[in-house]
Amino acid sequence: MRRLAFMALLLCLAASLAATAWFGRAVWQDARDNAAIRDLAAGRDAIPAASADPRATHARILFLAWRDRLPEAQDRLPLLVGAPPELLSEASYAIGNARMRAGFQQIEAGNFENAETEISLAKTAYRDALRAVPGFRDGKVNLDLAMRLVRDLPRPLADGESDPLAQPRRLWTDLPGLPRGAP
Amino acid sequence: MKWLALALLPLPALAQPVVTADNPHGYGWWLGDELVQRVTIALPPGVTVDPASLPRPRAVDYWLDLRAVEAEQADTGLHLTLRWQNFYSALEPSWREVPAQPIRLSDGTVAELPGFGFVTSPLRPLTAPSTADQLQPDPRFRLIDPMPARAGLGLSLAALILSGLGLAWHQAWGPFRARPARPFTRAARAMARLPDRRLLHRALDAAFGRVLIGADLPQFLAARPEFRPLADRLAAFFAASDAAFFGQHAHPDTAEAQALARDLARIERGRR
Repeated sequence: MRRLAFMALLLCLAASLAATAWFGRAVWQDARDNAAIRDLAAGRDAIPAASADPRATHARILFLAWRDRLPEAQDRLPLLVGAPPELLSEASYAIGNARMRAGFQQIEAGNFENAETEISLAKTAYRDALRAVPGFRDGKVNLDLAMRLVRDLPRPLADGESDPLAQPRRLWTDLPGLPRGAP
Repeated sequence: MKWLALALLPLPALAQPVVTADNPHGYGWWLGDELVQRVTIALPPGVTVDPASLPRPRAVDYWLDLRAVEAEQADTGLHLTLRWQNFYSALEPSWREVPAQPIRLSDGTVAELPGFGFVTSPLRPLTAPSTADQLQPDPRFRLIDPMPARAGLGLSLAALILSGLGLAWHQAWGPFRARPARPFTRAARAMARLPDRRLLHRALDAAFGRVLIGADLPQFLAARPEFRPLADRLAAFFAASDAAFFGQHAHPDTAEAQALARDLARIERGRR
């Protein structure tokens, strides 16, 4: 009986020691990742550790997207695959927003070809955001906006037909065709 | 007899399975919404659906994705859950048709997963400007909630302190050094400094509850069976003490008494 009590106490001690170490590490990691997220939110670049929480990766993608470092942001998206879908959705949405801002700049400059490319990429990013979370309303609104600028077209007409005259005209576009400003 | 020959011709398997569909509601859908269609295929016994013929998750059309197909085999047939996603950016409420999908059964028949239609509506007014200031803002940064890990750390620290205290109490360590319920442990520690046999006698008295003499040893071992492995050495200890007390042997072996006290202490604390 006493032997059993001694063994049980030793076991409890070992288990609680292991739990303390594990949770201590978790507390430290949370503090480290939150510090990185606060830095990124304040506009200071911080590179989260490889083992960082997905929210730190999310923060870094938001930071990179806002600064138009899109290839870097895009490269980090796969890190969010196993994470809660909201994070992947918001990260894709932030990339979409960056593409849209670039698209609007191109429209201002009158480069409609480049604008169309940027807005098509934005549409892909917004679609990815909605695939991750179908109810993401900000993503819906911005995708609708992008779709009004560059309308989706039925596929069978867009490919297969070699005759350029048979290609459908791009209807329903809101892309401004004329320079603005005073005459 | 011709009619008989015709009647005896093997009939092709014509049993069409009954397909019932629980389609999404026809109205009230927006860009990006997920539409869940549940289809039940009642199958004749022994017939299964060819898994390769189930529709694959894919972009079915430029405005329609099939996100996921979940198949669940039940006694009555196959339950299919098809998750569609609408990407049609409507300028006005618009009727969209989701196409039917063919599937093949193991007996060679082809059944059809029914299509359905729905009305998708625009999110923004038709006249809303498409300018940069209409963009919804970037998402917020999300901080990690530190409370779960902190609570876990607090609880495991409490468990660590409690089990440490429990072990110290059980082993008569630190603040529990002078615990009355560990007489042999106290005696062994005292004898390490002062090798006096009487200390062990007092400890045996305390463990027995009254004065223990050599003749009472079987009674003590019956009450505390865990000390039975040391019965011979206890008997020898009492014999040596009696001999010393009655003057037959002036200097009994104190080293053996110390060793005995240590072994009794080990048993007392569950170490042996």
